Amino acid sequence: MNAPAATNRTTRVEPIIETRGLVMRFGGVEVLRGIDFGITPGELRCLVGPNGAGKSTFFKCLTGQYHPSGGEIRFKDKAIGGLPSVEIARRGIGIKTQVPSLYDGLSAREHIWLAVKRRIANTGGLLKEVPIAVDEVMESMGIAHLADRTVGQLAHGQRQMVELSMVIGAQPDLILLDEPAAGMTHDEVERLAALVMRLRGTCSLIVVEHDMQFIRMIARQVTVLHQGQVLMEDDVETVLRDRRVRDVYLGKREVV
Amino acid sequence: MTPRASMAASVVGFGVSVAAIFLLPSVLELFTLINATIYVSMAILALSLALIWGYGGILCFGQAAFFGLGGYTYAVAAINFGDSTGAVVLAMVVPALFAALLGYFMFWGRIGDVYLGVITLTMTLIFFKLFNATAGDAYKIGKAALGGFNGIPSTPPLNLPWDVGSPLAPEDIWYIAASLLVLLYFGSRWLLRTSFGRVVVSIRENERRSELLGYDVRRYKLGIFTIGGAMAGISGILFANCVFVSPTMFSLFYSAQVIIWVTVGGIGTLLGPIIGAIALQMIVAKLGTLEVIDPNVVLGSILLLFVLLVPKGLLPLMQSGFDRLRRPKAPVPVEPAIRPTTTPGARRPEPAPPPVGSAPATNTLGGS
Repeated sequence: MNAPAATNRTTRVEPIIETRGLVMRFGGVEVLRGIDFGITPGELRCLVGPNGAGKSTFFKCLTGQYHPSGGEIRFKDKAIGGLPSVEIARRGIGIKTQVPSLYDGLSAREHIWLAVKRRIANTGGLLKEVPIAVDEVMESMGIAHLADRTVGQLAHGQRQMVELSMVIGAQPDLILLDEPAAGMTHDEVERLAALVMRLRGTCSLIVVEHDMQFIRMIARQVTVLHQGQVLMEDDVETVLRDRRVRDVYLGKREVV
Repeated sequence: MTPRASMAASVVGFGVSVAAIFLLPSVLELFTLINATIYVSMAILALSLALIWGYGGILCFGQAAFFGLGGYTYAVAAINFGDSTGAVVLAMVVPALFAALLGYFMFWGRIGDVYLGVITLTMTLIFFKLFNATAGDAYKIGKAALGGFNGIPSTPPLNLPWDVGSPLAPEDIWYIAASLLVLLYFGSRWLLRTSFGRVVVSIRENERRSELLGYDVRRYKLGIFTIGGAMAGISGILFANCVFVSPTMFSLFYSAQVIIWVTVGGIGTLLGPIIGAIALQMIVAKLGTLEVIDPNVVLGSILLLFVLLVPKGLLPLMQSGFDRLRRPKAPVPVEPAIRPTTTPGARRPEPAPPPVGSAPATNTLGGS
């Protein structure tokens, strides 16, 4: 397996998150087969791969929803593999899950409140700062008009935005986005791309996405997963031109 | 309802309940007033389940265990102390501690909802069996004989704080019970508006999401479960003052009844279960005196009817009826026609979510 490209640069920056030989087994099925992966602080990395490559499982390992069967996960230079998700969330990893994970009976404002309150309580801030910060987040994310709507009644794209705002409102150091553009209209995808570009630099991001137009809009460095291993890791154009990447994707596509 | 209407409704409701508290003793006969006190104590039990089930999402099938534990603790402590003041405090602390202990194992053990129901139900049945088996002189706690099946008929009434010489009359106990109900109702509403309450509700809606935001859901569940246990204990004290404590307090009958009250009144509301508890007890009592039909059959039928026809419960039904009366011409809320988004091109209607498992249409790897 190739060494991750990010670590090959001349000045080695300490990765914000790094996995070494990460293995996840379910019974006899090995879904992740030794993943070596790492990104530097402030980096935006795209993670692609056909269905079943292990992308979502990888995210679940990073957020403590699965406890890895082997290997190591280090976040901000501390081992986090096997910690409960609460603890990992508090250390600064936020995730937007593949299927929107929302509070269907609550208003959009309540969603953002929960995220912001957690962050402010975590940093020892005052609770009276929360409502102001909530308004700011909703304003900057363009969902202020949805504030008092029940999230269960919103359209799919709006729900995606609410969940994204919630993740961003918590201001994690590392944001994981699992297929954020799924089911969005072209305009929404463009807005999302602009948003992701704005976030880049303020925090680190790993984005799993199938939508190649979206990836072209945002990505520089892309990691390709295939059958639980890193197939290749390079800049976006090289990856998209690569023969093996086309094979694994197109091979899968015929089945779909 | 708009916030203003709901505010007005609370003020009116508060006024009506205060008026009722002070008027009922002069209107009702003593026997009926004692019955009314029992209804009110049961309404507090319903409120405790409304809080932990309706807002905490914890279906506790054994709320009667905390109710019985509160009653027994009160009776035993009051007999031993002579004074009821410390007994009241203990009768809230003991069920709360027990709820905390049980909750610790259930929430830290991360057992599923169904098993939680089974465990709480089993626990209340264990108490039922246990206290039924305490007949005879061997089973005494201090001066208090537990009395097995018969319970403790000589449960002492409440007295003025630290004043053993002034036991309270049934009217006084009515005032205390009814005021406590009002107090606990508004207290619960306040609790749900605090940060703690809002997080508890979020956990009911989506536990995983709250966890991924960094909330330790176990602690919040434990907190609301313990508060519910203490409230059920208060209900047990009041019940012990109107009747007396006996193992039936732990029976399946009470555990199941509370669930019926909450379901009929409306899960996810506070007032609904209170109304449900009082109304259903009145119906059952009325049917009991008529002796035409077994009240339990009627109670079961009411539950079935509500689950099938009014699954949201009585209070939401009344609220939507009220709203419809007020706005007969606009039953459907009107959405703003144009979303004031920053990008002018985004005015097209939102797409429906794609069918599960379908590949995104823009999956054009290497295509363009």
